[in-house]
Formats: sequence, C-alpha cells, structure tokens
Amino acid sequence: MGLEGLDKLLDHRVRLAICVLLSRYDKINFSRLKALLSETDGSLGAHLAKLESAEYLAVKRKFEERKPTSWYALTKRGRAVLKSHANGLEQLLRQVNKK
Amino acid sequence: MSQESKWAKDLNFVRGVVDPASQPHLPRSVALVWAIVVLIGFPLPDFVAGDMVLRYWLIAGPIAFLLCAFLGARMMHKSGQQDRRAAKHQFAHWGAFLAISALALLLPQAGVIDWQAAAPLLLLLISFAYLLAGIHLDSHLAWPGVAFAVGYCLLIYRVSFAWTIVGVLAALALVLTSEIGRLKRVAQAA
Repeated sequence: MGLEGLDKLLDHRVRLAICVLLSRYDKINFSRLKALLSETDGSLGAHLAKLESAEYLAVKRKFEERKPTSWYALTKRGRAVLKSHANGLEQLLRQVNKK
Repeated sequence: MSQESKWAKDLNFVRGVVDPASQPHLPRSVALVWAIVVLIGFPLPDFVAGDMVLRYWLIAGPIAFLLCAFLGARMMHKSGQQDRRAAKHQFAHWGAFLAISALALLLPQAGVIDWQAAAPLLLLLISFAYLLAGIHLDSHLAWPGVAFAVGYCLLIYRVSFAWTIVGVLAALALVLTSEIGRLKRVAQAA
C-alpha cells in the first residue's frame, strides 16, 4: 500500500509544504515562509523546530540589517524522507483512484 | 473527513503554497537599469556618429549586465528566498545573448556585412532573446521582445527617427513589464 514510505512528521500539511518549498529552493528565511504559509510566528516556529530536531532542516541564524534572521535549508536526510513520503502518497492516491 | 479527502486537501494546500512562491518576475531595479540604458542608447544613431554608438554599447552593455546580476542577487536575498538554479538560468540566458551579440559584431568588423545592416540584425537578436526569455523565464518578458521586433520593422522600412521610437517603446515595455508583474503578485498575495 505504500504506507511504509510515509513519514509521521510530514503528515501535517504545513510541515509537508515547508519541506516541498525547501526542496525547490536552496534557502528560505523565516519571514518568507511565514508569508507563504500564512502561519503565526508561534505555530511556524513550532513546526520548524520539529523538523529541525528531526534533522530534516538545517538552520543558519544571522544578523541582517541589525535584525536576527533564520535561513532554512533541507538536509540530505530531509530530502530523502520527503522523496519517500511523496512516493508513498503517490502510491496511496493511485490505489484510491483505482477504487 | 475521510483519509483520502484529507490527503487531497493537504496536497491542494501544498500546491497553493508552492505556486505563488515560484512566480518569476522582472525586478523593478533591473527593469529601470535597462530602460535607462536603452532610452539613452537606442536614440544615439539618430543623432550621433556610428562609432560613438558602438562605444556606448560596448561599455554600457556589459556594465548593465553585471549591475543587473548584482541587483538580481540582492533582490533574491531580500525576498527571503534563494534559488541558485533560477539565478544560473537567468545568467546563462543573458550571458549567452551578450556573447552571441559580440560575435554578431564580428560580421561588420570583418567586412562581411556593412554596419547599416548589422544594426537591424542586432535588434532582431535582442528581440529573439526577449521572446525566448518570455517562453522560458518569465512570460511578461515577451512584451519587450515584441517592442524590439516592431523596432526592427521600423528600421527596415526606414521610418524617420526609428531608433528613437524603438528606444522609447522598449523602455516603456520594460518598465510596464516589471510593474504589471509586481501588481499581479501584490493582487495574488492579497
């Protein structure tokens, strides 16, 4: 059924969207992610922290124009998990469409 | 909610997030640089000698290209989203166009064609580069391509002050292209 490819962390649509965005771009900062996902600071921060602690994301914190800025990038592990999750979802949706 | 409809909703949400993030656009600063360069450079053949025109483009072209590469990189950083692949694409497209234009200049230089024929040929190359950019990079860039193609026709049919008209048309097309793209993005964000 493809369930073995699915990742628990990526079951949440915001975390899935973060990983998909970061698979498309090299780096995205917190403000841009917040604008794209229409999430609050707290909620987005919590999702990012979960992905970071699972080592799906790497974060670089810098000061830009005297403001702290966090830039996020997908790690190799994150990319591999996303790929397997996407494959799992694809298989599942194919099964559903067959019904 | 069934599991299937949750997946479908989640995937729609992801698509809705990724689509606006990948909208390409011509930055205002880049459009302004080229609008100024063409607004000064294109009318020159109507008013000054040919060697002055050549000198202007040999200096202004590469400087504007490098300035725009810098402005593009800065804008990308400021937008909070870095896309090295897109930057490489842009650099390769416009770099190739500059290189081909330099090679085309060898034709009159070597006496294969005269300078009078080389000018419309270069305009045709510019038009082609913008139309291709409109297909592969940002659809709005096709409009300056159309402006340059109209300019080519004006030159071929020897309309008076054709170069000045092309310069104004192209500068307007570049600025409008950037503004329309910006307004569309603002409307989408709202």
